[in-house]
Amino acid sequence: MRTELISFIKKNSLIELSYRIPLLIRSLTLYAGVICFYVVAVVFKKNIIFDAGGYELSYFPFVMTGIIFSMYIISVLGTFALRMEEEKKIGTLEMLLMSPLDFVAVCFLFYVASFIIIFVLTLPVLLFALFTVKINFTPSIMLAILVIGLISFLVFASFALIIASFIIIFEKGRGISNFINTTFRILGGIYFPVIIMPKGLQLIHKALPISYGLNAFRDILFKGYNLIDVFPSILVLLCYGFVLWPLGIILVRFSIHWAKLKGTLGRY
Amino acid sequence: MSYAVETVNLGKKFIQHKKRENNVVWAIKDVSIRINPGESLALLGPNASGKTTLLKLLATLILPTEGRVYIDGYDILKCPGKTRRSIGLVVSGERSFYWRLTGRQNLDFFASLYGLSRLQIKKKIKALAELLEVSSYLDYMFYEYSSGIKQRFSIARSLIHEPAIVLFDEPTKSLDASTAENLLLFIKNKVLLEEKRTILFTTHNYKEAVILADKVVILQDGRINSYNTPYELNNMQDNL
Repeated sequence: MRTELISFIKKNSLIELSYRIPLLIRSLTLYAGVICFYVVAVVFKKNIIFDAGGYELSYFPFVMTGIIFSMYIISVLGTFALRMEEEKKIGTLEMLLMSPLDFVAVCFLFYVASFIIIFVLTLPVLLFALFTVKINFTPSIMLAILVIGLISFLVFASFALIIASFIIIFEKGRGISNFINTTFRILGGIYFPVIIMPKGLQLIHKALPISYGLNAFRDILFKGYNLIDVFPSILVLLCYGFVLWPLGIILVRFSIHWAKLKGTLGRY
Repeated sequence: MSYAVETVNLGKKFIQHKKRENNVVWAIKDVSIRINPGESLALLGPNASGKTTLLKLLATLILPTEGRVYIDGYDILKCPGKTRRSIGLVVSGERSFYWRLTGRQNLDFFASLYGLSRLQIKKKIKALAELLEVSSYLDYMFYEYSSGIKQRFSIARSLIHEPAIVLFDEPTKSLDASTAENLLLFIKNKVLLEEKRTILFTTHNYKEAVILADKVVILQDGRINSYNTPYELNNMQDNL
């Protein structure tokens, strides 16, 4: 599996890098967005009355942690969806299905490759965040962040399977990935605290897996929580994983079976 | 001795959707063929005769409605993984490659899907490039290749995991007559005789079938119209 993973990362990276100008524009757009938040938060600091909902924070550290977390969890799904759609369009999806690799493994490899690409692209943002949001990174904090990050990454990999099954059946996955993207960003507490939302939306927030990952992430960074303190969030995330992964696998297998029955694998 | 490829009463139906009515179309029906190891079989027929459908059924890209398919003795429905290892598929080279990668990078990626080590992949690419005479093209972008070179890379990819059976879907599509004939002779000498693979290819060109095939199956409306050697076919043509 190691050789296959390296090959997927190498292939996807080479393809992304071959579109130099669009890649540069994409990166600059992301950096510009972050700088906008910084400027708004810092320049208008005195004018912003901000209740971080349980954290003693100004707006910028609050939103920056949300952006960082969403970059590595939600943005990866968008990249994954684009890549998978391309594979179906250009006919390489059929060739991937001709290989002995299980398609669930193929989707996971695509997801990991998408993560690596996003990680490299957003490294300047991460460094900027580390520089501006001064956190005391103790070993226990770093361990807790790593565990939450890994579990969130694995839980959201199941969404990649769901997106892949959409693409195989409907040939387009951007709709579903945008839906996930928008819903999770707005209702997940990334850009603003949940307490300012109406009660109904706060309930939806509690039903989203990103809420538990992000809240645990902020608790670790700003309240000094360790692994034991965020264990309830870890447990909830694991429950989501136990439900979403089998669902994702079933949907992917069903979609492949359906497409082979209908003869639509090569259609684009 | 098991056959390299065997189909038993194979059938595939599709539902064509139209406003207010759905038509059931049998793309292939009651197709039974047998190919011995090392043989070459041509599927000959006009457009919409079921050639590509049959090929895709053998490649496990479509599921049959009825009948059975055995590849190297394995039922494709019960042992899909094993059958996929035994098959190489050559489609028209315009699709199914990453145009933004070089030929080498493409082969490298597809080879890695078969669990080969880095050293094995490197050796195989070198050997296949020499066999198919594309060594000087390896490090150019795929979009820079002519159709003939793209087809050769498609053949290289199909051979990289050393399958027993190679399926060709209209290998000379979009090639001029001279390039097409050269490619067919190339396939015959390199893939069939030198590499000793079993070949099944689709074509609507009778002459191509005669050049390359040991046996010719003529499909018409999804059914086998005749099943002959090229010699028998020629005799039939002469007697008409």
